[in-house]
Amino acid sequence: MTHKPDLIVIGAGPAGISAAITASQHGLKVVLIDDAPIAGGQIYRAIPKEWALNTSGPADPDLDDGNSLRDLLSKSNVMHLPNHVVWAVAPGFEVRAVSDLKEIKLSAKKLIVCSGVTERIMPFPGWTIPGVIGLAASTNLLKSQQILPGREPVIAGSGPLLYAVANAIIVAGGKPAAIADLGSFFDWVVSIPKLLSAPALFLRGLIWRSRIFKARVPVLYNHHVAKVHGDNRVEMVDLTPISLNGTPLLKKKKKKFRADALIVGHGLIPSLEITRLLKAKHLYSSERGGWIPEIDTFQRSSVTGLYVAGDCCGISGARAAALSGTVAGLSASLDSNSISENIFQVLYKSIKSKKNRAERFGKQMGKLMTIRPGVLKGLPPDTIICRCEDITYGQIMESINAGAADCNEIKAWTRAGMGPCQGRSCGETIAEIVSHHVGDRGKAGFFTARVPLRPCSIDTLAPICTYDDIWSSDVAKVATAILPAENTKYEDRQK
Amino acid sequence: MQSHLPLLALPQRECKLLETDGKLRIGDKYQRGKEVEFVFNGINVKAYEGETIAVALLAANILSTKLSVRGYPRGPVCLMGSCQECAVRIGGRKVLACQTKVEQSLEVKIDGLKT
Repeated sequence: MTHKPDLIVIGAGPAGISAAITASQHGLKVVLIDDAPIAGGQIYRAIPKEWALNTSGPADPDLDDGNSLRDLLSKSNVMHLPNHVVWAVAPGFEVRAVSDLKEIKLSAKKLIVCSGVTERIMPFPGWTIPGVIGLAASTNLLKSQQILPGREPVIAGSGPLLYAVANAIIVAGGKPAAIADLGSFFDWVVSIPKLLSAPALFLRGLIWRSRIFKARVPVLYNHHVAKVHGDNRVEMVDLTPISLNGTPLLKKKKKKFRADALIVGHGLIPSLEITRLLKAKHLYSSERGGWIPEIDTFQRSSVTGLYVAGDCCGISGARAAALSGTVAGLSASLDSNSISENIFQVLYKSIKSKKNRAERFGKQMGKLMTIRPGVLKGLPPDTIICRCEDITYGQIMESINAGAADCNEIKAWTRAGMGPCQGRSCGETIAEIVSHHVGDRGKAGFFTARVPLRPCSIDTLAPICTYDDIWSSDVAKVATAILPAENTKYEDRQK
Repeated sequence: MQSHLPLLALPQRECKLLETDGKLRIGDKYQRGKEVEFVFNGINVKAYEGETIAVALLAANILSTKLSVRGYPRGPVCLMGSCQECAVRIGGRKVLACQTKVEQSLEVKIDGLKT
């Protein structure tokens, strides 16, 4: 059976929830589809519903924001489908998702994609050792599952999450062994004027910094992970100073830290499998997270009826994401003729300046996460790049030297990006490596998106059936109508 | 293209599992769900309802959830269903440890072990 709403929204983060609620308020029949059990996305991850709050703990502003969004969603007319993993999207638009070994099909004229971001981790020797986990992953562990990723971890990478995670670990009773920031102290100082556009968030950042200082956690600016030691788990982390463009200065003395985990993240990159699958136009902007879909001021993509909102159209942060979701919801309502142009303009103007202000803060944060091209220089050839298929830097260089000139050629020649993660972990790294040889990221391209977008079992998509089911199906009726004619012809030929 | 040759030269390794409590759960803020026990590769692991398998394993100091195609141990990385490094087997089916909640007496097996 196919559900036919007016609008499908994929992703129930701040952008998706706002978009779905807005469109539904203006009379559209909306289905909001998401893979998590509770709405909120990665930023507003909820506490498991089996747990109860002890009143003693301090308030968490993110959790409060998330709860108020969830409250709005439950009061709206939006049909929310949690626990549904989207595995295919076809033009026009048909969305297929699996949940509990069942598949559902949805089709609608309008589609809003709020697929958010994934974390970028630039490889270094030993990054595949168990115990090396993502920065964003750690915030999930700390916020939603109330568990420390490690008691004495090294925290490395770039962007504000470094300090957010370090702060949360200290509050929970751990003590980070060190923080290694790819950026310099100067980068943070020059961004202060723009960050002041959101004073509350800026103040939160200052509190984190002072707590880290008080806990005497060494903060190393312009440092990158040189190597992780350990057999089956992280034991020691070597940190190396880097030059301004990120190249590790391997001749300088490394600093060694004993650690029980390595938390690492080099910024966030938009997840664009769906917009790529639908052949929307994309452009490359390193300051906004990498490849982003081309959109107009009202979140419309280059494909008619397809809208994109939230961080997946450029890193801007949760507040800006929610507002861009609202704009996408308004555009979808306008294009479905459920609100007039005048009402649309009035509603859009009421949030325009708020959205611009939120974006200014978020974009500056995005800039701090910009990739430094040098971090991949000097990698030993046996460093694994594609985790799923265990493809090394040496193998990728071998194919580049043999003439591979874009990401998809590397994929075809080495199998990098063909594993179960579909290139979500290595696509960014491989594009960077290729771009160093062909000139720029535009020429290096990106992995072609393929279905299934996420692994799903074949028996879920093709349920068990008997021959009777096949013979009574529509396909069989058509087939039996054609077959006798063909058979007679065949028999005639035999005579 | 000889890209598959170095693959064969690399040693295949066995995955060792440790069994101790890492004291990682944050104690006071929430009342966790009911205590349950599940089995991971023959090891009994205590957990609380509402926790995911990946989190329960981390709390039990078990970091390896998978062997890579070349036989190297791997553990959860993204914890949001993207990286697929925490894929484990439950009843012959591959599921993501970071997206699956624990249940009493669940039989979880590491993926990629030759048995």
